[in-house]
This record gives sequence, structure tokens and C-alpha cells, in this order.
Amino acid sequence: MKIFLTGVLTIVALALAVAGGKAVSAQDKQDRYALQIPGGLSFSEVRGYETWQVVGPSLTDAQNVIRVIVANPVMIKAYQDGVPANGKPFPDGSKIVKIEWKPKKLTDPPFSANTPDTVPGDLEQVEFIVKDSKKFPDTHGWGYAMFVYNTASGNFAPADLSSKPPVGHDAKCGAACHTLAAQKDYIFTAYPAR
Amino acid sequence: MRKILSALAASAAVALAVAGAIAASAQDKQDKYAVKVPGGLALSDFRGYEDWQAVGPSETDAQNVIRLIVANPVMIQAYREGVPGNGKPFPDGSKIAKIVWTPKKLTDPPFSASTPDTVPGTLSRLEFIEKDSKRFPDTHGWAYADFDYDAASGTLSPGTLADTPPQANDAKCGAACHTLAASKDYIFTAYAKR
Repeated sequence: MKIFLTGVLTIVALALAVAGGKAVSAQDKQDRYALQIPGGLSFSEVRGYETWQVVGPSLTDAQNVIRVIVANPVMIKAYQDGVPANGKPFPDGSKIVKIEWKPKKLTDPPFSANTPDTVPGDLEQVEFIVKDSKKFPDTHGWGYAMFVYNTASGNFAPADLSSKPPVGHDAKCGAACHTLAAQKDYIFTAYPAR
Repeated sequence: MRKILSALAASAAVALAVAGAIAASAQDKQDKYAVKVPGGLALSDFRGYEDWQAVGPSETDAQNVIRLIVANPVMIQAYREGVPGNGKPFPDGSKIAKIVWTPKKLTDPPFSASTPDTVPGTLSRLEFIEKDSKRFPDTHGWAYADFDYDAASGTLSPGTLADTPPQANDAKCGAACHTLAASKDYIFTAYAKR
């Protein structure tokens, strides 16, 4: 009887392990919008960013990433009205997201090894900045957050102190660097003509 | 009396000339949606492309350009449903636009000459593809159009036989090259996970 029970338990355990494996391997099983930087911003601050309009693309050598920078309707409207070159700041409610991928080099025709097309490979991380002058008075009204994507598990996780830039338990991870863009209301990305 | 009249006429002519010059010097005075490839597509076929969602960014070494590929809601929806990886073609009404810029290297901090950020510089051209199986049966349902942007005048004009790819007075400029992507319903650009 004991042997029988052990056998049944083993089978049940195996079945659960297989089911668990399947669930984990499925993409996007995770609710990314339930994630939060401890003491910082929740991913849900930028819910729906997948459908936002584009500010522009970029390719950053230091981090070896290719990016698309998107913004919510409030911020796109401000860009189109001429912010920040017109001297006005982005309004409260502005939200901007950097979607970062590892670059992938396409070398099949019409491209080649010498003249590749560089396109998004694996998703690497999602970074965002939101403006709320009342919530973030110490950082010129902007709050920062970053979530790292793991391709194998298909899950996002809050960035931490080992990430680039390091993310502490607050909403200030990008603030020090973005002071370099102080005259552009702390936002590096320009809105190019299209 | 005659002298007064001719003086008045002369000042009116000067005023009109000044007004005309002011109008011509302003950017985007051109109604770009009135521009058309002779015997081919009109830019107005893609009206509103400035607001479409991104498929992905790319940097193409052979042409030394940085691009953003956007698509209309019909085509974005198809991409999200798995086209063309799921073996289905893009539906009629699909429209995709490549916004092409000359790359600009940002080298100010936090970037540097050896680790620049590559972002859009001057707008270079717009390339479009749309699907209408009835209108374009010879090219697998797809029609193509290229427009060159002149930054000095702020105007767009149809691409010509001197361009890469050469554009004749038809809607087939990209068809020969895109046969390389026949297995992906003739569209090179993949929808990057975000």
C-alpha cells in the first residue's frame, strides 16, 4: 500500500511539474502590470504603452541596444506643439517609454554581412518616465522606472541595483543622468519630422 | 491720379511678393497629401501615417539610414494575430510606411564619440506599401510608392528612376526586391515583441 501511494504521488508530482513547465513556457502568462519597483513605480503607470505613438527610434552603442521611444497622447501632443524647444515644459500626465531590444543583424539578401540591416532581436528592457509635479518634486516632476525582460521565461522583473542604470527602491533611477538634459525639460529624445 | 494708381499697384505687388515669400519659406506649407507618383499611388493613400503604431525600428548600413516602420490599424492587428508567421497573408487594406532619416550621432554626455547614440537626423524619404488584391494582382496584391523629402524646401516629391529602388510611373517600385520575402507575404519587417 505504501509503495502504491508513493507511486501515485510520484505520478501526480510529475504531472504537476509538466503542467507547470507548460504554463511557464507560454509567453505572456505573466501580468506585467502587477509588477512594481519596491518603493517606486508600478508597471501599470504605463498601461497600454504597446499601442502608443512613436517619438523616435535610436541605436545606442554603449549599451548595444536598439530602441523605440513611444509616448502617451498627452506627451505626443506636447511634442507636436513644440515642447521643449518652445521653452515650455511637458505637462503633468506626460508619460514616455523606451522599449529596448538586443540588436539583430539581418544579413540575408538584400542585405549582406558587410551591409546588414539592424533590427530588434530579443526584448531586453522597458524603461519609463512619468511626470507628476506633486508626486516627484525632488526630481523636477519626473518619476523613473525600469523593468527587465527575461526571454527564456517570458517574464518581466523590476530592475535592481545591478541594472544599468542602477534602480534603487525609489522612482529616481534616471534622475541623475537626465540632469544633462535639463534645458530640454530633462528629456533626451527629440521628436523628429515625419 | 495715374501716378497715385501706379504707386498703389506697385506697393500692392511688393506686398503680395513678400506675402508669397513668407508662405514659401514656412516648413510644410506644401499639402503633401496632394503629391502623387505619376501612374502610381498618391501619398493620400496613406493619410495619417504620422499617427500609426510602430512595427519596429531599423538601421540599414547599405543606405546609411535609420528607419521607423509603422503600419495602419488593419495591419498592426494582423501582425498581433501572428501574420505572417501563422501562414496567413496580410488582409486587403493593410498599409505600412517606412519613415527614413539620415542618421545623426549624438556624442554629448552621457554619450561619446566612441559610444554615440544614433537617432533620426534629417527626414530623407517616405516609402509606402499597401495591399489591394483586386487593384494590384500582378504584384501579389501589394503596391509600392516612394517619396523623397527635401529638407531645404520642406517638400516631398515622388521618387524617380534615379532613386534606389528606381521608381517608374507605376506602383511596382519595390515588387522585384520584395519577392525575396515571398515566404513572409512579401513584407520584410517583423513585428518586434514589446
